Amino acid sequence: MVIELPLAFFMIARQVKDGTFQPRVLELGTESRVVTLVLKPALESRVAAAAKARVDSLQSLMLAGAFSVRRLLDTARAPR
Amino acid sequence: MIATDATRLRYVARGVSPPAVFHNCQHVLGFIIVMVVSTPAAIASPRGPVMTGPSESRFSRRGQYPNNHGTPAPIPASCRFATASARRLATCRQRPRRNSTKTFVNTAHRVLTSSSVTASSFRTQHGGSHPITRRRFLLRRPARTTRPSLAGVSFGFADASYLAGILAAGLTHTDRVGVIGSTALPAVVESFRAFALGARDAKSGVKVIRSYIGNWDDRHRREGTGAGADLPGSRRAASERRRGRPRCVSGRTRDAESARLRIELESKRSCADVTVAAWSSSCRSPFS
Repeated sequence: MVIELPLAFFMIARQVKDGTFQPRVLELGTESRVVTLVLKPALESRVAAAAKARVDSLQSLMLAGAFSVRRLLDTARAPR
Repeated sequence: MIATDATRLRYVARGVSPPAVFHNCQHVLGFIIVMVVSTPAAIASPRGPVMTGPSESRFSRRGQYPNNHGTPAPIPASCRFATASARRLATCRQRPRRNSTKTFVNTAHRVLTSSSVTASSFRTQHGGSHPITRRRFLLRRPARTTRPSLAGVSFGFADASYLAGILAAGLTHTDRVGVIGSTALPAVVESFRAFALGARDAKSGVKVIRSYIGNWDDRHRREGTGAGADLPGSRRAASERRRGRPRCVSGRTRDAESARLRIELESKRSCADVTVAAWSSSCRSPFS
């Protein structure tokens, strides 16, 4: 997992610049592209194609805001 | 703040010019950006702590979370706020026990900073003449967000952890996967839940073994080996390789430049054959 702090700051700074900065809690995750899962290329060959395709598909949904695991955790009986 | 080339390239790929802050840690869109973190190792890189300068460790009686052995691991008090979920943060009525940040805001110092702590320590270290003290916005993780220039930040790891769980489940041959975290902080616990959910969604019946190292900065520490896992490059891992014992490891971002998740499949005997650990930032300190 990679946290792109520069991107987070850039987003905040842009909000400040645009005058849209609000005093609130900012949730920065995959949807905002701040926290992403990045595979090491050297290890990609070990990952099954089906798993990788599923991950890519889900990550696309996450980036589009169409899929949120946090909501899933809230609603499903996720293992604790 | 010095970002990696990879990070800059991502901006370029998006058609956005990398802010100057990446190069000289001076400005992002005209605002100076500063990071203040709880400990030097709060965001660590293999090359050393990413954050240096206005960092200090403070310990709290209440800021303790258990490690694998059930013994409390001392955590800086501020981390309790820093790692709370966004929802808790949004409703949290608990003020940081130190009022230094409040004082800092009230005195109209102008700062844009992601912080789990102690703006006052920064001020103490750098003095009121430092450029950041003339800036406007204070951005920090903890608790309340009642000031016009004060916002909280919560990083969500659930989505990425879920994906990591899917990948780990796809790699395992034993239906046992491990995941290593620092301490049982709320954000880490949520991340582990998401990891387990992803693993079980991908492969039902997968057993997820969780392990806490117990601290944030000692990558060689062996306490987090409840899953039979160890961090790559550790003395134990090297020792076991020499002895021909099964290694049940790994995945920690060791490459600061690429800052990629490593998932490494190793042989196994009685423990998880895939263990995922850690995350890392792709940036470096504005003070480095």
